[in-house]
Amino acid sequence: MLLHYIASDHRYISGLSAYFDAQGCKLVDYEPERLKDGSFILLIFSPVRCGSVRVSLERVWKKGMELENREAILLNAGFEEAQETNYFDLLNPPANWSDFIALAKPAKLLWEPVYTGGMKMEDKLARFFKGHGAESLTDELYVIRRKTASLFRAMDKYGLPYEVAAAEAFETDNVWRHWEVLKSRWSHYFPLFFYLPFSGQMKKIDASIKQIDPFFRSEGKNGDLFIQLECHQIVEYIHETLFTIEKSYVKGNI
Amino acid sequence: MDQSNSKTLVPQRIMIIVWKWKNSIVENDGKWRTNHKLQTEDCIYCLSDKEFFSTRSEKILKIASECAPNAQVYIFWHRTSSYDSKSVGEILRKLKADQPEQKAECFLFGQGSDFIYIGINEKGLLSPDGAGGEGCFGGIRNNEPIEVVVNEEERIIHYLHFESIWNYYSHLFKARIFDLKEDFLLHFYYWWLRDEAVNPLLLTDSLKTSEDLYRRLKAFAHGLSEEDHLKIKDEITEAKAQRDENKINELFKRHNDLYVMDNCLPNLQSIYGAEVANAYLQLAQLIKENILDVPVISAKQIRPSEKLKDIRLQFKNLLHTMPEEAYY
Repeated sequence: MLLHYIASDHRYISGLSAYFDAQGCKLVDYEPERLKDGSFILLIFSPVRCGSVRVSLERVWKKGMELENREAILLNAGFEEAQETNYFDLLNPPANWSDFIALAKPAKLLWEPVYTGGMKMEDKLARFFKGHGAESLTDELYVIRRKTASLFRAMDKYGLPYEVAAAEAFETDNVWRHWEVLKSRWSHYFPLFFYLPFSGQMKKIDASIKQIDPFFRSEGKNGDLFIQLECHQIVEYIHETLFTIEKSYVKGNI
Repeated sequence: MDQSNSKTLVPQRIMIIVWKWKNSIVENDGKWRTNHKLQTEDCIYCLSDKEFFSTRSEKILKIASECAPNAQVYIFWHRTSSYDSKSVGEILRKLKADQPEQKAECFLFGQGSDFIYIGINEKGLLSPDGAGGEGCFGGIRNNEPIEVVVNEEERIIHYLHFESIWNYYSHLFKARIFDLKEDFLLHFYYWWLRDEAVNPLLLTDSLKTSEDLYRRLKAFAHGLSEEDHLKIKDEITEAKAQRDENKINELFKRHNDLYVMDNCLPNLQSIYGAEVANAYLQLAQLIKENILDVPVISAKQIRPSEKLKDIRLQFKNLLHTMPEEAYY
């Protein structure tokens, strides 16, 4: 039996290798492209360590598997003492893994994973997306997007030279300050996204932020950067990607 | 706390920050309010760390006596200039005796390395070096000024900075105990899997191979000794001599974890009362008996698989008696 796993510490895997060998199971590091495979089983050693905090991400993953592969089985393993289907108490492992899997519920059914005591990722995500909050990215991105869209439109549709269009677009709201705040908040959150179902998209957003940063750091003084770095398109991409994730994982009531 | 939601109102929240404040901040009574529209009684009292310990203690007790009887009081203590191990327990005991309904906690901070600083947290409160090396609200982060004060004349700060700090420190002790539990069980998981009777000294030796965990566990179960304090001081002195900023920052974080462990018991007693303190003491005793204080010559044999389950259960008892989440 093939088990894909997510673990932030290799000691879980090395410690359990003899146990899983005896159970006839093979553990392989999770690869996102295998998520849609038939008979897919994912075992998360939870909570995972992300920087200085421990994150319980099982509820977000339950949602992720509902969206991506409804027949797949999600299991979480931890030191929390509990006896539930789909949960593997590390100090009380199943005597027979085949029986354990036979009882496990697929992602499509209504059930809640055992909470393993770390930061609740579903709550953290809600704050990340919530407008007007001290931890939210939405407000900052909204201001930036409004400005870059207005600048792009003035140049593309009305043919205004960059200097004229930029002077008007950036006259109010101190977009450079909003960009710094956005980067600061992103740097706080990004490590927390490392083990999530949409971590690949978040890595692309991180790269996108780095790509257009030189334009914002120049405070718009270098107009060529706006076009060369595709600032407008990149900001739109960031917005659309985050919007899709929010719609699936936050507004969808995890 | 969302300003628009009146249902989330909580009892008065007071921060008392003992620090190297510049004079204009601590003058009069050093009291600053926030601009929260609903939590209008929340405030910060700024006390200078240049005063004698006894004077400061009297001021803290006086402030607490003038607050609401059910107020929550967080004392932030500048570690490098005013801390000693006993002082935390002392002030918390006095506060509890004077104001039994208030919930008081005490946290240490210093060297710009804690969450309360702007340099660490964009919604922090303090700048490590104001003009002339004195402390003030707000500061520079990523070359950008962060304004904390909304109205200097009326002594008002932005409530979002207050909320950020309050939320973080509300979860600090539980988060650190939870971390200790996870690190402890993971470290000994290998011994649990072996499932055979062993001399507990082997567990002690195994623990010592992970110095960070060993020191945290010792601070949790025994408190920091004079020797531990000296070691902390020596490590910092050495890193400073090498001018290794990364090492200094890492050491401050590690040392802060040790101080949090060291201060757990008086804080838990003050916040939650006897039930949680008893759960803590039972856990500490179990760790001492089976791991930390095993006699050097011991014929005793234990089964790690059983002892780890006992210790896990005691961690669970302690964590479950603390009602808040481990992390915000």
